Amino acid sequence: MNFPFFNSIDERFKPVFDLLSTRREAIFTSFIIVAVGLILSFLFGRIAIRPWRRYLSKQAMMIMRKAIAYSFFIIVVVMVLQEFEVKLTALLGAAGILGIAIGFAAQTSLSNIISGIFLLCEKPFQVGDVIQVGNEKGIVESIDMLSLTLRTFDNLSIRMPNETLVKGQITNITRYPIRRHDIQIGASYNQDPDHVLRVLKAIATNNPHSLDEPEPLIAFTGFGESKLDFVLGIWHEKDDFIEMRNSVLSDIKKGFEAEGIEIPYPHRVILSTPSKTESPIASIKPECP
Amino acid sequence: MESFWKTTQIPPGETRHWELGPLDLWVRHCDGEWLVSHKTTDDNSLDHRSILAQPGEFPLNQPYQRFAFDSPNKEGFLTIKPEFPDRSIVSKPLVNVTIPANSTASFFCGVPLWINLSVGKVDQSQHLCIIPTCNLSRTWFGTPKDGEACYASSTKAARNFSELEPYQFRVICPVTINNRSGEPLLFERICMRVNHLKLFQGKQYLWSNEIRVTKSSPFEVSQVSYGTMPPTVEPILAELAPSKEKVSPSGLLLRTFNNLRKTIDIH
Repeated sequence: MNFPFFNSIDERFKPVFDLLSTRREAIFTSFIIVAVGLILSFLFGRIAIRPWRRYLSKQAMMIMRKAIAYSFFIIVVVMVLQEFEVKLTALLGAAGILGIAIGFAAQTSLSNIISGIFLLCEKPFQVGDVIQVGNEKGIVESIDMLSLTLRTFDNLSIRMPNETLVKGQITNITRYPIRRHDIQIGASYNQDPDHVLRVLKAIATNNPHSLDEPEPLIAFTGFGESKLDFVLGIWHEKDDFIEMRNSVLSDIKKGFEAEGIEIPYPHRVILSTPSKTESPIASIKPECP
Repeated sequence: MESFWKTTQIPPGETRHWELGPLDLWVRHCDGEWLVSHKTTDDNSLDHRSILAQPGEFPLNQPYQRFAFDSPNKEGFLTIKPEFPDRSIVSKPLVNVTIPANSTASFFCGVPLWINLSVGKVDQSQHLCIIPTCNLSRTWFGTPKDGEACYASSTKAARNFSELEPYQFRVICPVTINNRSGEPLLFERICMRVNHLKLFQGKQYLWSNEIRVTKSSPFEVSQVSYGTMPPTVEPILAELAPSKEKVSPSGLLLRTFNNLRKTIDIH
């Protein structure tokens, strides 16, 4: 029986079948090279990094592990090609021309890679730090060759190109072990500012999350449109931010109420006085000639 | 004087209430369960309290911890032990003290204790929890860039230990400061690394081993060493707790006083 469909497949894949039959040995060797390469890459990645754990940051180790993996990948590819007697000089020549073409096309990627190296050397943050870039705030999950992955507090994963980070402003929120959180507070113009300062001092002293050293910043900062302006700057341990802010805001509300200090809302006084003269606006009828 | 730190038996279904200075502690033994509740106050007038394991009502209307496990401890043995807080203590004298150049001064500083609850017989005891006996405010010892999170406490920095009250929730730590720096040393805050301290039961007071601080230069950190023996000012009845961390006999180089703080603009 004659099946045209199978005959066409047979003809189409004939070179592959021929290769498989004539290069059995090379294919078998290549499989072994790939398998051994994978195992060695995994083991070497672990063993080579171990002595450096104390000295390198997490992202440096991550990049070192990736560099080892890529190096092994290139070695394995070259060895497999040699098994199939591919002339590497011709291939490298072609790769050079191709590289120029790719270089032009991949300017952004190269810029990201170079930016990644700068970030690695400069170390403005590390994996696990909380940073703010533009409007995005989150925990640094990984720093890769091309990009950084940020996990926001509402559990979104944001990929940021390294180039953006080098060009823009980054705020590392958890770089230092303690932070100061400034709370702007308004009090009514009827209040004695010294009394307000004393109440704020007591709030800062009694709050369990507020550090007593460095001393909290308590200042009368000015005369607002409808309130006296104060600032309460509480020093706290970096992990205590949410608890500290909740408890201090609650303490301010309760403390002000207990001490009879009014937190004013914006208001404007409009004085109405009776008019003594005629309206300054009058319509003048044009006289007809 | 009866020791506060001992094993108590609480039969199933019963509650015991301790009053230790500013701390009120309730422990209830249910069948295979232990309920622990505590309350601390800032009222200094209660510091003298030391009431041991009185029968009482368990305050279910306030927060409590519940521990449940299968245990052969049907007899309900509960042991309370004193221990030092989990962070260093920064002690601030009520009035700043200046130690002249090339002189030595000894003080007795009080350090608040925490209590460790465990149940069962000594050889099969199971840890329940650690409870602070008083509310300690948090503080930072060092610069805003680098330092150590500590608890803050105030001290009379008494020259004679009999000036201090024999409270069961405070341990007296003898501190000797040797100022060899050639400049007067202002003792306004001292950081005591309590994980290097042992705890002893004296006849009346609780004691720690001695801390010796030597300040050789105004610009250098201090040499701190810890005595291994209890102080000899009062007969010692027992060692209540070993130090959590051993120190080499040569001591440690540590930042102990806070003179560096003055140079830092914190605003």
